[in-house]
Amino acid sequence: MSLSTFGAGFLWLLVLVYSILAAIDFGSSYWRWHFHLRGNWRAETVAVTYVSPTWELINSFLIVIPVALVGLFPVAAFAYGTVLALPATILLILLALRGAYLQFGYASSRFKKQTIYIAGITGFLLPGVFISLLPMSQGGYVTQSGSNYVLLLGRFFSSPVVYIFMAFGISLALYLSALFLARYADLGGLKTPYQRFRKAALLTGPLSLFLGALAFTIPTPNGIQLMAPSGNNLAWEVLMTISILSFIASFALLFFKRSRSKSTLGSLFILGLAITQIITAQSAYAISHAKYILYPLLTFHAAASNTAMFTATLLVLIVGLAVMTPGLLWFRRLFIVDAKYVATHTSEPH
Amino acid sequence: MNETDMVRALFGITLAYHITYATMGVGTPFLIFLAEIMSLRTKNPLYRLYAKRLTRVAILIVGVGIVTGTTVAVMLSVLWPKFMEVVGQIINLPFELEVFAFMLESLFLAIYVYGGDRLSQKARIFTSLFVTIGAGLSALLVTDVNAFMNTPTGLIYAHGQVQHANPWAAMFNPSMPTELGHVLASAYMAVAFVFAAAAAKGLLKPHITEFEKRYHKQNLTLTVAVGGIAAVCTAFLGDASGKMLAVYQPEKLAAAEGLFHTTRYAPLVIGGIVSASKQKIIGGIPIPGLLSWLATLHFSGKVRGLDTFPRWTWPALMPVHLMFDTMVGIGTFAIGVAFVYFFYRYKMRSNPTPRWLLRVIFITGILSMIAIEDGWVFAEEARQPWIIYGMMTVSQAVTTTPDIGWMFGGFMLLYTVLLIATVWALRHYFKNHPLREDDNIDDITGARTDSGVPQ
Ligand code: HDD
Ligand code: HEM
Ligand code: HEM
Repeated sequence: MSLSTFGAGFLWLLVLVYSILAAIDFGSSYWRWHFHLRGNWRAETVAVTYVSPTWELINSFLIVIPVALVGLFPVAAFAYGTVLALPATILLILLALRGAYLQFGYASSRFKKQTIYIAGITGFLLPGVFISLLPMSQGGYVTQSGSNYVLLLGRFFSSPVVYIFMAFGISLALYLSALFLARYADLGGLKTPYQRFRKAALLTGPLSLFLGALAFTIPTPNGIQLMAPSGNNLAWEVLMTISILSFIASFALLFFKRSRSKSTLGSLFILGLAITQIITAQSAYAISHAKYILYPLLTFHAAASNTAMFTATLLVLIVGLAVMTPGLLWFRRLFIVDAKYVATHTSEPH
Repeated sequence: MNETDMVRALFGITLAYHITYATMGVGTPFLIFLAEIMSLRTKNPLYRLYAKRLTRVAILIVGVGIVTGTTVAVMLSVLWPKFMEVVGQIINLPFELEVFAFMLESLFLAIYVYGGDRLSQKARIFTSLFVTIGAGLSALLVTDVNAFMNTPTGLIYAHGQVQHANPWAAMFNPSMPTELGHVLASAYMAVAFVFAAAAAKGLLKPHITEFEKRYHKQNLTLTVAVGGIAAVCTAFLGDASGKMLAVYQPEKLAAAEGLFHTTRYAPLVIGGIVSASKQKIIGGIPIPGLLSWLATLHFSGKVRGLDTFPRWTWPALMPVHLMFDTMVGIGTFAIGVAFVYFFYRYKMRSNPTPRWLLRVIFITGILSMIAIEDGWVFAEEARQPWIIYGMMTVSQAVTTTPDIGWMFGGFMLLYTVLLIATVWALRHYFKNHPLREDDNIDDITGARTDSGVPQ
C-alpha cells in the first residue's frame, strides 16, 4: 500500500467516526425538539441527557478532519477551500447557532425554549448539508479554470441527486439516533421512551434504506459510477451484501422486541448491527470512490503533501488519538453507559 | 472596498471576535483551578461558590469560543487557500496537536461540570487543572502558527513550491518561545483583571450585604494578585519579544518605533505621529538611548532602521506605532494599579478599599481586554504586506471566490446575534441566580435549582 493510500484510508476512518457520532448528536436534538412539541417530556429528557455533555467533544472530532486534510492532502484542501466558500458559510452558520444556543440554554428558561427549537431545526438540517459534500466530490459540479476551482452553484442546487443525498443523510441520522436513544432509554429502564424511540426507528429505518439505494444508483452528471466500481468488484459486492443483511437483521429484531427485556444486551446488539450496516455501506462507497478525492480533477496521490509532513501528520494524529482514548472511555463510562446517571437525570419532572 | 480588503476585514474581525472568547476561555479555567485550591486550603466555602459561579461563565464562553474558533478554522482554508496550501506542507503540526488540546479541554470540562457532586474535592482540582492545561495548550499551539508566519523556518520556498520541508523545525521557530510566553501571560493578566473589574463593580453597588462584601472583597484580592503577577510577566516577556524582534524581525521593530535610519543610542519615542514622508516622528516624548537598550541591552547598541528595507514592504507606520504604545502603556498602567491596591491593603488593613480605586480597577479590566485586541492587530498589521514574512504576501494568498460579499454580510449578522445573546445570557443567569449564602455549591450546572428540564 502506498503512503497516500494509507493516508486516504485514515482520513476516511475519521470521516466514518465523525459521521456516526454526529448523526447521533444531531438526530438526538431533533428528537428532543420533536418530543418537546408533542409534550412527551420523558422521551425529551432522555434526548437532553444524552446531548448535553457530548457536543463539544464531537465538535473537536469535526475539527480533526479539515486539519488532517490540510496536513495530508494540502492540494485538496486548496481545491475544497475555494469551492466551498458558500456551502461552508451555510454550514458554519448552522453549526454556530446550534453550538451557541446549546450553551445559552443554561441561562434561563426563556433561552431553553429557543435552544430546543434551534438545536432541533439545525440538528435536522445539518446532516443534509454535510452529506451534500459527497455528490459534490463525485464529479460534475466543479470545473477548473487555470489553477482555480469553481463550483457551478446553479447546477449544484438544481440537481435532484444532491437533494436525494440530503434526504438520505437526514433520514439516516434520525434512524441511527433513534436506535441509540432507544438503547439509552433501555439502559435507564424507561419503558415509554423506549417504545417511542423504537417506533421512530422502525419508521426512519426503511426510509433511509430506500433513499440510500437511490443515492447509490443515480450518478451525478458525468460523475463516478458508484454501482460498478472499477477493479475491486468482489469486495464491493461482499460489503454491500453484509450491509443489507445487517439492516434486515437489526430491523427484524427491533420489530419483534416490543418490550424491554431484563438484559439490555438486545438493544446493544441491534445498535451494533445498524452500525455494522453503516460501516460496510460506507466502505463500499469508499471503494467506488477510491483514488479520487475530487472526481475527475484530483486524485489522492496528486493531492498529497511532501513525505516529511505526511508522515509527521499521520504520526501525530494516530498517537494523539491513541493517547486520548482512555479519557474518552472514562467519559463514556461516566455519562453514556452509567445507568444510574441516565435514570437519575431523566426520572423526575421539573 | 476591494475584494482583498474585504477578505482581510472579514478575517480580522472574525479573529478579533474569537480572541475575546478564546482569551476568556484560557484564563477562566485557571481562576477556577485557583479557587478550587484556595477552597481546599482555607476550607472557606466562599471559594467554592466563586468556582461555581466562574464555571457558569466558563461554560458559556468556552461554548461560544468553540463555535467562533471552528469558524476561524474553516475561514482560514476558505479565505486564504494559497496560504493554507503552504501551511499544510510545513506548519500543520501545531494545528493537529491543538485538536488534542481541545479534546483534553472539553473532555475534562464536561467531567468537571456534569460530574458535579460525584467528584471529590481532589478530583475537582485535578479536572480543573486539566481544563486549564488543555485551554492553555490550545491557545499556544495556534499562536505557534502565527509565530511561524512571523519567522518562517524549516523550508526553502521557491517558485511557489515548498522544498526541503522540516515540519519540526518550522514548529520550533525563533519567535516561538517569546510569543507563546507573552500570549499566555497576557491572557491570564487580562482575564484576572476582567474578573477583578466584576468584583470591583460588585463592591461599588450601593446596598450590599455583609456577605456580598466579604465575597467580592475576597475575589478582588485573588484576581488583582493573579492579574498583577501576570502583568509583570507580560511586561517581562513583552520585552523579550522586543529583543527577539530586533534580531529576527527588525523591520517590525523599526515600524513599531518609527525608526527610519539605522542608529546607535536610538531613542524610544512615546506617542507621536509617524510621518513616512518626513521620515520622522512628529510630537511624542523621546527617551534617549532607551530603544537601543531595550533591543540590545546596550545603550550603544545598533538598531536597524526602516531605510534598510524596500519601501513597498513597510507597513502602515502611523497606526502601528500608536498601537504598540497603547499596548505597552496599558501593561505598565495595570502593574501600577495592582501595586497601589496591595499598598492600600497593607497600609490600612481594616479600611474598605477606596471607591476611586475600585473605579480604576473596573477600568483596568476593560483596558486589559483592549490591550489583547490591540496587541494582535499590531502584530498582524506590522507584518504587512506579508502573510508569511518574506515569503508570501497577503495578495498572493487571498481567495479568488466571488462570494465574499455574501459571506461578509452573513458573518457580521451571526457575530452580532452571538454577541448580544452571550451578554444577555450572562446577565440573565446572574439575575436568576443572585448571590446567596445558602447556594447549593455542589450543583454546578444549576440544573436542580432551575425550573424546567435539566440541562
Ligand atoms: C494584555 C495584553 C498585553 C499587554 C499589557 C502587553 N502585550 Fe504585547 N502583545 C499582546 C498582548 C499584550 C498579545 C495580544 O499577546 C500579542 C499580539 C501578538 C502576540 O504575539 O502577542 C502582543 C505582541 C507583542 C509584541 C510583538 C511580537 C511579535 O509580533 O512577534 C511585542 C514586541 C510586545 N507585545 C511587547 C510588549 C511590551 C514591551 C509590553 C509592556 C508591558 C506589552 N507587550 C504589553
Ligand atoms: C487571535 C488573535 C488574532 C487577532 C485578533 C488577529 C488579527 C488579525 C487582523 C486584524 C488581521 C488583518 C490584518 C490586516 O488586514 O492588515 C489578521 C490577518 C491575518 N491573521 Fe491574524 N490575528 C490573530 C491571530 C492569528 C493567528 C494565531 C494566526 C495564524 C494561525 C493568524 C493568521 C492570520 C492570517 C493568515 C491573516 C491574513 C493575512 C494578513 O492580513 O496578514 N492570526 N489577523
Ligand atoms: C488562526 C487562528 C485560530 C484558529 C484557526 C483557531 C481555531 C479554533 C477552533 C477550531 C476552535 C474550536 C475547537 C473545538 O472544536 O473544540 C478554537 C477554540 C479555541 N481557540 Fe482558537 N483559533 C485561532 C486563534 C486562537 C488564538 C490566537 C487563541 C488564543 C490566544 C485561541 C484559543 C482558543 C481556545 C482557548 C479555544 C477553546 C475554546 C475556549 O476555551 O474558548 N485561538 N479555536
